[in-house]
Amino acid sequence: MLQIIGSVILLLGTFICMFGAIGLLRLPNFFARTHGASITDTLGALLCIVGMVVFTFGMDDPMKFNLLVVVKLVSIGVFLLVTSPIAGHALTRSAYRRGLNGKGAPNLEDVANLPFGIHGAADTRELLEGGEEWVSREARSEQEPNNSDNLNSGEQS
Amino acid sequence: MTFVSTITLVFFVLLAVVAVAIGKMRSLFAAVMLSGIFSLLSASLFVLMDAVDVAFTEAAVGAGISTVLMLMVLHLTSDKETHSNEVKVFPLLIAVLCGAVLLYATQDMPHFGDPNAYIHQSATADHYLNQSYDDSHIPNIVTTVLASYRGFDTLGETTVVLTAAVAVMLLLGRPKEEEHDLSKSPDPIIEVGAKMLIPYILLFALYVQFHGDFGPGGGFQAGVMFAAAYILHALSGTVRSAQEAASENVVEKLIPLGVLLYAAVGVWCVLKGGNFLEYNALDPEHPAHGQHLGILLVELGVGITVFSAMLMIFYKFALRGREVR
Amino acid sequence: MIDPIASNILFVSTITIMMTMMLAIVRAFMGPSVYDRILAVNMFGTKTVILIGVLGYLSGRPAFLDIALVYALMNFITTIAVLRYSDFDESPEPEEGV
Repeated sequence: MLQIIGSVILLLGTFICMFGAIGLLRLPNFFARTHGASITDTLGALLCIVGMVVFTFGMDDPMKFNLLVVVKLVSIGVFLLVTSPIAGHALTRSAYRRGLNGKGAPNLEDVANLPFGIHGAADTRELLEGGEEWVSREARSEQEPNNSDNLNSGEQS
Repeated sequence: MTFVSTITLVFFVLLAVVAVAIGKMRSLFAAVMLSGIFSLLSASLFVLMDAVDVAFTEAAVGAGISTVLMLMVLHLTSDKETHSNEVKVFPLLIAVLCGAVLLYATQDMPHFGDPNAYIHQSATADHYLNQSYDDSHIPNIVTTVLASYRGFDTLGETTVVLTAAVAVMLLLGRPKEEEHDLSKSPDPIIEVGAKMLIPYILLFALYVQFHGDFGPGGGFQAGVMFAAAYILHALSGTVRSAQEAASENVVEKLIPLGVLLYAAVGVWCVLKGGNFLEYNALDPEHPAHGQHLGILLVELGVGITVFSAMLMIFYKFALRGREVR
Repeated sequence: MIDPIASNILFVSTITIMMTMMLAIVRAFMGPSVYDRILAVNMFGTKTVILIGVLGYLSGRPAFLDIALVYALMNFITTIAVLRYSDFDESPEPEEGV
């Protein structure tokens, strides 16, 4: 009985990996592909390992699938949990620094300084569509009082 | 066809497709990446054909260290293939002819796993399969064949690894004076991840070394894993900082030490009254214990040599890069 | 030993993993930039780890898990090594014809 549950979890994990691979083929640019592939890779692999652990508990063998197998599976699982995200991060960082994002893509510092909340959403959309002339809303609101000061001082003089 | 043979067929087809693609790629980085996939497919095929030790070695050496070293070679030379437009007729003809002769010769081979094949009738195979546990009390027959029945051969292989390391040291010599260390801007995530993983990799390498008697493993695979741990340390920091953990002088002395250990076990057997590498002589009342001790020591020698050779080759390549942005 | 239903489910999952591996190979051929290829090889490696584990259960040998663990390690080290020893020039031009 546990064998069937274990193999169903394993099957679920492989379907998630399959979604990741379909995303690898169909998504338009590199960063989207990395996002899809890396996340589904980790989750799918972890589900497969959990399924295999459950499967092992369901086996009763004279050949003794024993505790050592479970320990090895858990260590593979922990290892994949730690290294898949690190590899995805390293890949994306290296590609970003090499200029794979092309012209007009936003700077990391601008993205980090975006405000949260509803203004942040509008700002984020403008940032991602805006290209090289994008200036953040705070900087724009800083420029306007300067302009109005100049006008006032101009009129007064 | 059974399920396993269907999967095996699919893998072979994939292997052929990847091989053709490697031949046609212009960019050498792409070719190296595809050859990593090729080695992985080979390792999966070995697993499907139940050859577990070979799959282990292929996964560790072919898909891991080989790809890393080839990437470093590409860094030292150029990464575009020089392209010529002429078709060379005579070499093509020779290659096609050799391929055709090989295909013709495979008609004569027995089917895979055929119990009536000639190799299964021979007395040597019979002795290996039936007598190996009585001779040495070690369950893994691959290890006993490698280290005891064919011990000379393995001594030669270890010497080959030593020679390869010496050749690289002679060719690449001393590093340039400046720190051409290919350091990118340091990435703290990789550094922390590597620090978490390296102790467990080393522990697993020790496990593989001494568990080779009971499962897949042994000296070659364990040496590669040890070297992989040090290479990960070098990759996550700088190579110079990794050399504080394993300095070149020490690694240089370790390379022949493994071969020396192997040959010294053989000489010890002679001194105790047997032939060279006859481990039965190490413990005359219990020959199986003698075999076990002898196999343990020679696998240790193999592991030491393979580890230090891989690490030395990595050091020599890593300290000679071009200047990197 | 193994339940026949569970055995069938394991067969289906093996086929799924192999299809995933084939899709990753297609991306490794097609990828316009080198980073796509590195991503594809990384994914292929993780799928090989899972495949070796499942094949171990199908053929009844727990010893395969050692190979899976080694392969997971080597995959990681290879990806990090590629990213350290690369100076790809990412000008957007097609590099090769396959």
